Amino acid sequence: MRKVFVLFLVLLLVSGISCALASTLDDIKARGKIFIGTDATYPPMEFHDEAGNIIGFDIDLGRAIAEELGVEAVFIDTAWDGIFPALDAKKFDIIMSSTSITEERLKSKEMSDPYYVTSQAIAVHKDNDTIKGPEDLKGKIVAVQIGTTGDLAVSEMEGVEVKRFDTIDKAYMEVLNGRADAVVNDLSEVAYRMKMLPDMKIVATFREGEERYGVTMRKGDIELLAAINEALQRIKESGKYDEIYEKWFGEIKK
Amino acid sequence: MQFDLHALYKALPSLLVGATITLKITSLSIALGLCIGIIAGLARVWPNRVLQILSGAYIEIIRGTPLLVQIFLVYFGLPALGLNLDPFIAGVIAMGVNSGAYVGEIVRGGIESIARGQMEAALSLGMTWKQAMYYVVLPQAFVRILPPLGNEFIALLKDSSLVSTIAIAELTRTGQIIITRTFKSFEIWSGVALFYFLMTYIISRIVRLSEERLRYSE
Repeated sequence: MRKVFVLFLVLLLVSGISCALASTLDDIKARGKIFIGTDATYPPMEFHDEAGNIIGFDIDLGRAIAEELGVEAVFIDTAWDGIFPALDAKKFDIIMSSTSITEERLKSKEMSDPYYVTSQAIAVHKDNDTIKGPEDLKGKIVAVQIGTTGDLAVSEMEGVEVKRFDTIDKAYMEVLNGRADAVVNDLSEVAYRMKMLPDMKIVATFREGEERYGVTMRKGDIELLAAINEALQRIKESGKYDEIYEKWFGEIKK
Repeated sequence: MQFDLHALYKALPSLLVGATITLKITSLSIALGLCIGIIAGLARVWPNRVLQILSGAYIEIIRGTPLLVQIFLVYFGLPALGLNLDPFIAGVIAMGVNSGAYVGEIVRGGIESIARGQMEAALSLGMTWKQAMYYVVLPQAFVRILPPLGNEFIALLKDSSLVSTIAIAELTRTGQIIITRTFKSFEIWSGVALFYFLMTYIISRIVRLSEERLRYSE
C-alpha cells in the first residue's frame, strides 16, 4: 500500500514537472486540438441554438483561429463565474467569451490584441423615463452579470445598488419583473437581446469603444499569445473576419 | 402572464438529454457513495479505535461542509496538486464522497438499532465478532437501512443540480441554457421540476418495492 502511495506521489511530481516544461502551444499542436472555454449564454457572441450546439461570433472566430494554428477547435461550455479559475486549473487552453481587456485581468492573465470593440449599454423597461444616462443610475437598482465589465462599471458608481447574477438573462428578468430598474451590459449583447425583449429599450451607452474583447490565456503563455495575435492578424487581412462579422452583426453598422 | 406550452414542448428533447445526464451522474455517485458509506459505517462500529476515529473524522468533515464548496474544491482546487479532472468525473467524485458520509451514518445507525443482545448472543454461541456482524446483525440492519437510504438517493439526485455550476450540462444547466435563449423562465423551470419529480418518484417506488420484498422474505 505504501509503495503504491509513493508511486502515486512520484507520478504526480513527474506529471507536474513535464507540464511545466511543455508550453501550452506545444500541447495544442501535439494533440491537434485547442480547447476553448466559453460561457454560451451570451447571444450573439456565444450561445446555444435550438439543437443545443454552441454557436456565435466568438465560436466562428475561435474556429478560424484554430484553423490558422492548424488544429481543431473544441469548445468547452463553462459557467462565467468560474471561467477564470477554470482556465488557471487548465480545464482549457484559452477563453473566448466576450472578455474585455482590463488592467486587472492583465495582471493575472495574458490577453490578445482586441478583436471586437463595443461599449456599455443601459437598458430599462420601455415605460421607464427616469433613466437617460449613467448619471441617472444613482439611487437605482441595477442588474448585472457577476464579474463582467458592466458589473465593474456600476460597482464604481456611488449610490447604485447592484444586483449580480450568474447569467445575464436573469438580469433582464429582474427588470421585466420590476425588481430592478436597469441592466448594464456590453452593447454587443444588449442590442441583440432587445430584439427578443420588446418590453425593454436601450436608453444610453457609455465607456464608448472601451470594451475591447481579447482572447484570454494563462499568465506566461507568451508563445501562444504571439501565435494567436498572428492568427488574428491574418484572419483580419484575409477578409475572414469581415465575413464572420457580417454573419452575426449584419444589421449593426460597423 | 400566460403559460407558453409550446415553448415547453419544444424544450422537452433537450431537457430529456439533460435528465439522462443527471441520472447518469447521480447513479455513479450513488454507487461510489454506497461503497464509501458501507466501509465508513462499518468502520464506525468496528472494534478498532483508529478506524473509528478516521471514519468519524471523515463523516464529520464532509457533513460539516457544503456540497457546493466540496464540488469547487475537487474541480478548481485539486488541479493545484496536479490532479486535473474533467467536470463529470469531478462531479461524481465530489457527490460520491459527500454521499458516502451520509450513507456511513445511515449504516452505523442501522447496525446500532439492532438490539445489543443479538450480538452478545451470537458471541456467546462462539461466533467471532466478524461472523456475528455478517450473519446476524447486518442482514437485520439492511432492512432498516433501506428507507433512509432511499431518502439519501433522492436527496442526492436533487443535489446533483449543484454540478451545473461546473458547467456539466445536466438537467438544471440545460434548463438555464434554454432560458438564456428563450426567456421562458416559468415554462422551462416547470419542465425541469417535472423531470426531477419523475426521477425521484421512480426512485422512491423502487425503494418501496424492494422494502416490501425484503419484509416479505423475512
